[in-house]
Amino acid sequence: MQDLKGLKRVETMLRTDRLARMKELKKEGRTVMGYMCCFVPLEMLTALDIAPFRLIGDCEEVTTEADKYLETIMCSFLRSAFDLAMKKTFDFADGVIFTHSCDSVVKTWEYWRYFAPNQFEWYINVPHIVKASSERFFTKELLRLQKALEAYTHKEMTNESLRKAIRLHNRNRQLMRNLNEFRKENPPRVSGAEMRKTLLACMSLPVEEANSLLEEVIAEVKARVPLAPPDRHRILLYGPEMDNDFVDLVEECGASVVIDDVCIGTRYYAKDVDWGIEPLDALNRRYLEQMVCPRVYRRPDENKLAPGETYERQDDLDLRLSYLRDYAEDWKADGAIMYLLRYCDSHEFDAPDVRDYLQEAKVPVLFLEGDYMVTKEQNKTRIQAFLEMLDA
Amino acid sequence: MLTGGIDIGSTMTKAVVMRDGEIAGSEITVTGAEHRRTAHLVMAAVLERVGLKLDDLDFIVGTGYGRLNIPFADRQITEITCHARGIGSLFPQAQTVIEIGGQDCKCIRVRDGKVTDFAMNEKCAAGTGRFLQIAADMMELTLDKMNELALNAREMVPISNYCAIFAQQEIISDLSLDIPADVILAGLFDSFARRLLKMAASLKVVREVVLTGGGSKHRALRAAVENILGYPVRLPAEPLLTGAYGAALLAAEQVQRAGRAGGTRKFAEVSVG
Repeated sequence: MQDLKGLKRVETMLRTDRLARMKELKKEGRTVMGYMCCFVPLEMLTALDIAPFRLIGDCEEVTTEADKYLETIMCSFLRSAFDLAMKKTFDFADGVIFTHSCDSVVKTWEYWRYFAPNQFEWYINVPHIVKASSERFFTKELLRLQKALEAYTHKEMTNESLRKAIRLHNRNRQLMRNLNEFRKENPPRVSGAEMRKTLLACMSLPVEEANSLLEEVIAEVKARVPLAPPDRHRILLYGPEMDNDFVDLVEECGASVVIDDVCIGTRYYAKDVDWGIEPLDALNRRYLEQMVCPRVYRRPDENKLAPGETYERQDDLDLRLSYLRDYAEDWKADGAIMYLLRYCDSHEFDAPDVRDYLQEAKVPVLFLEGDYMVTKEQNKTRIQAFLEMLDA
Repeated sequence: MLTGGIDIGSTMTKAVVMRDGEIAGSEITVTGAEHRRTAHLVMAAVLERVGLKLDDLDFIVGTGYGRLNIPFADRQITEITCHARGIGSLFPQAQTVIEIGGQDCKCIRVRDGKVTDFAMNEKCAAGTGRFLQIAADMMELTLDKMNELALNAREMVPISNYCAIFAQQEIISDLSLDIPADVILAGLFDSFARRLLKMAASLKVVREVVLTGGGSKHRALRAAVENILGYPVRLPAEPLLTGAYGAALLAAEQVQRAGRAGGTRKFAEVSVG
């Protein structure tokens, strides 16, 4: 498969076994670990020569085993991922790392450990609130993770190895951002579906290999003419863990998804780890303070208020969501589609704010709610009607 | 100019033929299992009525849930856009359209016949014509009788379940408590109207409000909606046809945009959007 290059390799990886390369590396003696969510500091794994891969579900696999333990009121993404775990999909890995992404992930974690055990199992307690005390707490969590990984691998995580890993991952994110730049063009030279697939492929490879793959994809995209006609609507996609083919569906309906705020998307690559400060402090900042995800709550700094001054709702919204307005402006989105996974309370709580904020910024919004396995026809009618509305 | 609109809904299929901005003829039939066959039959029926052939039409827009199964349609446009267009033409003051279809319902905010926002119900039967049909069947009433009873009821018991099947169980339990049918039915229509307005609430319901779709023919439903809103709503003369009518109007706009009327229906080059 490694004979294939660029987007061909991406397609083939996703069509066959996404984790084939990880299994190969494992056979060669490399330590490989699965991770859940964007909150795991992958740099720490890379620093110890561990190859991380993202734990996701499979839209084409009917969830059967997971439903014996997880209520159907848990999000369908997580149930699908746990279903794969119970079907031994991730058994080959040396370990899995979870984070306190949301309550459903925390509870699933307990089942996961029991029914799909791996040698190394770790849970990072990521605070939900960004303030000084949570930063202190998170530093300790990062140190605990470091010690545990060091003990497991019998290696030492030096400042030097960590810095080297940070450099690699920053390069990784920079390349993803470079690829994303092609979506600013009209018509975009890379589609939303291609972007999604490339990211998924990269999250299934060690970072050095992901970087080579990205370089190939970028060279390929750079050399070609745009695929889509220039008059398509440009859509900002907002949602949670969207490795499913919802993006593809929007594009099948005749729009281009040009920018996103989803987990398999900008949330993964928008921000780098700060190079100028101590590595652990930099990781702390990157994976807590700078993380864009509705499960992280941040408030305006009350210490900076003048006496008698108060924060209004708009200040709160600006603080939390102004990046969305920037995305819409910079990528010239003329509409936004929100696709929420049913029962994802983190996103559901934020959804009215996000919708209001975008509409306030004169970006029309289509709000959809559904499952990880996207039902095509019902959503198609809604998406097409929305595009017709943008036409008018 | 001659245009056609055809709307294949989950339950009923509707066709409208328009001549120079006026409805020349229309036809309504049950959708059934064979969409393509139904599409042909319903269009043939209208054309026969107005003495035209398919090739006489300048442009045909297909809409509704079966819109992809209309081989002779020149373009597909969603029922949301078509209903908005149809209602916009019938009621220029309309701001909110609530369409109650056989198996879904939608709320559309419109301005000058154009969609500004919309919401659709989830995939279950709650808030759809099917829900009311199930209730009528289980109480062994005609739809007309059901409405009459509900309209004349002096009190109501609320139905708390939105799910058609759970609501059915609730009705059975009410009947076993000897609650009179009219009291149950009044509650049923009230809950139904609340369900519709709840869906519409995220878009803000603004006057004029127009009800349309087959479900809006339930007089008791209209009364319940008006009762909750506190003001009258409007209803087209034939609520089943607004989608097909809007489709035929949009077809005419397509022809105007292409700048050529008359002749055969060969419009591959008509611009989209």
